[in-house]
Amino acid sequence: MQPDMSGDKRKSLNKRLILPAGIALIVWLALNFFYDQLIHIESVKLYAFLADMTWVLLVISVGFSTLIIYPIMYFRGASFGERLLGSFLTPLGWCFKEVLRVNVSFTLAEATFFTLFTSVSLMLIFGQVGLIGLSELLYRWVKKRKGGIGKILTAGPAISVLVSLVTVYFIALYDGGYSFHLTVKMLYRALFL
Amino acid sequence: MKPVATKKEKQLHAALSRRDVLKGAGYAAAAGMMSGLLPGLSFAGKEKKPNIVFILSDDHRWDHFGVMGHPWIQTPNLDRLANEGVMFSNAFCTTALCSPSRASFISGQYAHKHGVINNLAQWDEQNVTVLELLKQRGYRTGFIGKWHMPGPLPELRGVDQFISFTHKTGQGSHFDCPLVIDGVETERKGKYLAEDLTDFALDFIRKENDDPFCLYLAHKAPHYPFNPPPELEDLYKDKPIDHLPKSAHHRFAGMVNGEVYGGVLWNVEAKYKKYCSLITSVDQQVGRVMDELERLGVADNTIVIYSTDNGYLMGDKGHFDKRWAHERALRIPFIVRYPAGLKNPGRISEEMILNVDLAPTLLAMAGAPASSEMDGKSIKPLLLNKTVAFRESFHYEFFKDFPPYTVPETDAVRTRRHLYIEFNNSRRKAELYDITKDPENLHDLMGTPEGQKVLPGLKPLLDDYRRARKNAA
Repeated sequence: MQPDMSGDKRKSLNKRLILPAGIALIVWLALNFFYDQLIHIESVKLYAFLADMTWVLLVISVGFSTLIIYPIMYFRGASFGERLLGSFLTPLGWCFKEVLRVNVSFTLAEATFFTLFTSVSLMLIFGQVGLIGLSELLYRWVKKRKGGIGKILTAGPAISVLVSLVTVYFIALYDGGYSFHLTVKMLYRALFL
Repeated sequence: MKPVATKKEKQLHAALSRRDVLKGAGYAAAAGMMSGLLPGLSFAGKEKKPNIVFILSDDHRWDHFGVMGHPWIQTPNLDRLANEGVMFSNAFCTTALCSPSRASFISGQYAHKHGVINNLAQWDEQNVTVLELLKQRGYRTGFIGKWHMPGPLPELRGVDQFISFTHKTGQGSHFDCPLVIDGVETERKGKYLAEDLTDFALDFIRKENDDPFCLYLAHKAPHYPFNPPPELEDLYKDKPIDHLPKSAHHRFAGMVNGEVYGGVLWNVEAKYKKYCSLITSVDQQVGRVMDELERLGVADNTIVIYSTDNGYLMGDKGHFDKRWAHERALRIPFIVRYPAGLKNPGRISEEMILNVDLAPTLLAMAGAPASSEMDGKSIKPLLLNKTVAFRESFHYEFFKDFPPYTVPETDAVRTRRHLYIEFNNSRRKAELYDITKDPENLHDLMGTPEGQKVLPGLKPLLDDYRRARKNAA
């Protein structure tokens, strides 16, 4: 039997995509703005406390918001393409911010290379791939508990989680990330120096 | 113009006790008498040249010494060096990055001349090192430690013993770092690198020989990752960090914006304390070298110099790491101890000296002629406490490096009072600071009436430096 896990009744584009993905993006932007203002706080203790807390929220919002918004989009009947777009919106926003930041001192080509190939950006991108697979599995599990039919575990989400884990391992964990860092550095030297 | 004395420098003056000064005066008197009676022990005497031990650490902030008034760091051996020698409170690197600065120390040249312009550029085998020149003057020479320039280790001409490492592209590791001992790759399981290198250094010093020796001992410590030896791991665990800038109190500050790639300081406070533990471990190794020189009875006729490749930003201006042309990244410690040859030991010299001055200084001390290829100049007159107009300004240069650090190409001029920075190929605007009023570079004077007053003197000076570099190329 084919799995009937294609999603719930389709709601408007606004409700199934723009609202959940947009809110995640706005939360991230607002946190960024708030974080940047904290440096003006005179009290060192208050500054440190608020900065630590905001930093944690920033990491969650840019790196893990997919876990929340992907199921929401699914329940509201968003297509796979829409769910992908919604999940990647905030992480891509972060990448865009990185391009702008690096572009202050380097060419646009270098800034783009940097953003596409350095470990933090790649972990973010491949992390989303894994989180999407995980969210998919979570959604199916919830759906099945509510009487849905079909398999929970299929090749697609399983592979995406696996690819994500393997990639993150080679980028960040193997050799403390040094080998990967060095490879990108040498590639940069070959291309730009 | 009168040299600038910062708050830290005043603390250093205070830290040098009356007893130290008297002790120093005793040394000076003894040295003075000996120089008259025993010409062999005088500066660059004809009969017996001084031995030289140059110890270079990595990323050791100039103010992280007990003698510099740090609230709790323990550096008794380095403090002793300062108390018995001359401490230069205005010493600077000409490029605040490991490989270029290391190449500048050993060649006496600016990065644009020796060619190691960043951590990705290879050492040119045609470059002449101070060790090669000292070898020609009859010295037994040794390079032990961090070479840290890309590519294979060079064939260092004029070096009798060459022990280094290529592990992690020359960055090495604090533990179990394989060494290349005179060309042979050797596993060093269970060894702490700074201690291991010092063991080899002591062996080098002990070798019986009539020739004077020059040992170039280059440590990796206290460079990141901040992994001190286990016995020092928690040495500063409970110490406060009130002396650090506000940014350093935010535990993830090393992981925001550009710092995420350069600093990698998960929990800044904990990492900072381990950085300090690493400094103490370097101090211990310096103590071992000093003890051995004394045991061998050669300490008085051995010039011991301690310095580091560049400064380190620990939350200063919100940055972690180095590279930037700001004061905390430019300043380096520079201490010279030479009981048989220094005048008035236990003092501070406020003259501006540079990493490129090391090589010409060593040549002068060894009685060798200066090399016209070197950009630096000998600080020997300062060691002899002569009143000379030494240096009014210097050029700082930083070349294109790997983007994660996002520090633009930079040219800066540092005078005794001001620091003027221009960023090349970047949208970042020029910066100007009055070091006497603002040693932390927090108040940019560009666009202010005060800035407009001094800029016409600084900009042409920087342009002159740029022109000189262009002509040299």
